[in-house]
Amino acid sequence: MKSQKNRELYAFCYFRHICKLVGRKHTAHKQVCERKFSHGKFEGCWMNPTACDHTITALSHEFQSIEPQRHLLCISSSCMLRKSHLESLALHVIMWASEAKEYPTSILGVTVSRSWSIKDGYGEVHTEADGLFLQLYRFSAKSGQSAGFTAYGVRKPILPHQAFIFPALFPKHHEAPGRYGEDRFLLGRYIYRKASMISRATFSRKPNLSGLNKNLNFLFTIDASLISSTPT
Amino acid sequence: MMSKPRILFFNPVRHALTVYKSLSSVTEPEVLTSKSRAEIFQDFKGKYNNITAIYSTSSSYAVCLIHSFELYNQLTA
Repeated sequence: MKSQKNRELYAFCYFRHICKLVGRKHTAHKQVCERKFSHGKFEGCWMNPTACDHTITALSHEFQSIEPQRHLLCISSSCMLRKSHLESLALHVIMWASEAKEYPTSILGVTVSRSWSIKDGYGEVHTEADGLFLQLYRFSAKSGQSAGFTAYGVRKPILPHQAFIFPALFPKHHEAPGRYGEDRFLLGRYIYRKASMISRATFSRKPNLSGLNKNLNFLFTIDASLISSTPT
Repeated sequence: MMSKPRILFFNPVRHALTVYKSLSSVTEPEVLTSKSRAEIFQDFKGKYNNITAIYSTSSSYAVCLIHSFELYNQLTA
C-alpha cells in the first residue's frame, strides 16, 4: 500500500444504502467506481460498513496512511449514518490526530440525501464560504432544514472561489429526472467526478496564512443534529 | 511530561459518549463556557489561547452566535 502514500486526497465512501437502492452488489459497484475514478490525485477507498464500529475501525486503519497536509474527503449516504455515528467519527478523527500530533489539512464531509435543493444549498454554501470556511449542507426540500458535516484544518482552508465548486455536487434532480435523482448509483459517480475536480482545485492553490494562530491547527465542524435517524 | 492538547467543544457531545470518554485519555476536552460573542472572542485571547482543536456543529451558532468564518477571522487577526 506504499503507493497510496502519494495520494493527495483520500476518500471514504459509504455506499451501502446507494447500492441497496439500485439493487447492485457492493463488489460490482466498487469495481466500477475504481475503474472510473481511481486516477491521478484522486483515489477512493470504498467500504461497506454494516455498523458504526466497523466504519470507525476501517477509518482508523486508513487514517494511519494519510500524511499530514493531505486532504481527507468523506462521502456518505446520510441514511447510513445516525447522529451517534457522525459524532463518533468526529471524535475519533480528533483523537487520531491528537495522538499523532499531526492534523490533516482538511476534512470534508459530504452527505447525500434523497431530497436536496441546489438553490437553497448554494445560498448556504455561499454564506459560509465567505470567510474561508465551507459548510456543505443538504437541504430537505420539505422542511428546509439543513444537515451535513464538515471539518477544516485551518492551515490550508478552502477558499471561497473553490467552495463554489461544491454546490455542483448536488444536481437538481427535477432538472435531470432519472439521471441522478432516481439513480443513486449514478449520483454516486457524479459526486466522485466532482470530488476529483475539488481535489485538483484545492491543491492548485496555496493560500497565505502567515497570520494564522499557530496554536489552532484543526477545526472540526460536524452537524449531527439533523442527520437522518434512520436505524441501521 | 507534555500536556495533552486542549479541545474546545462548542456543543457538548450528546450521543457518542463512550468515544468522548476515550478522547479524554489523550486530550483535554472542555465545553465552551463563554456566554456571549464578545466574551468568546475575549476568551480566545485568554483562557482559550492555547486550544488545539475546535469541535462545533451547525447548531453551534445558536450557542455562541458566531459563524465559522467570524471565528477564523478572529483567530487569524
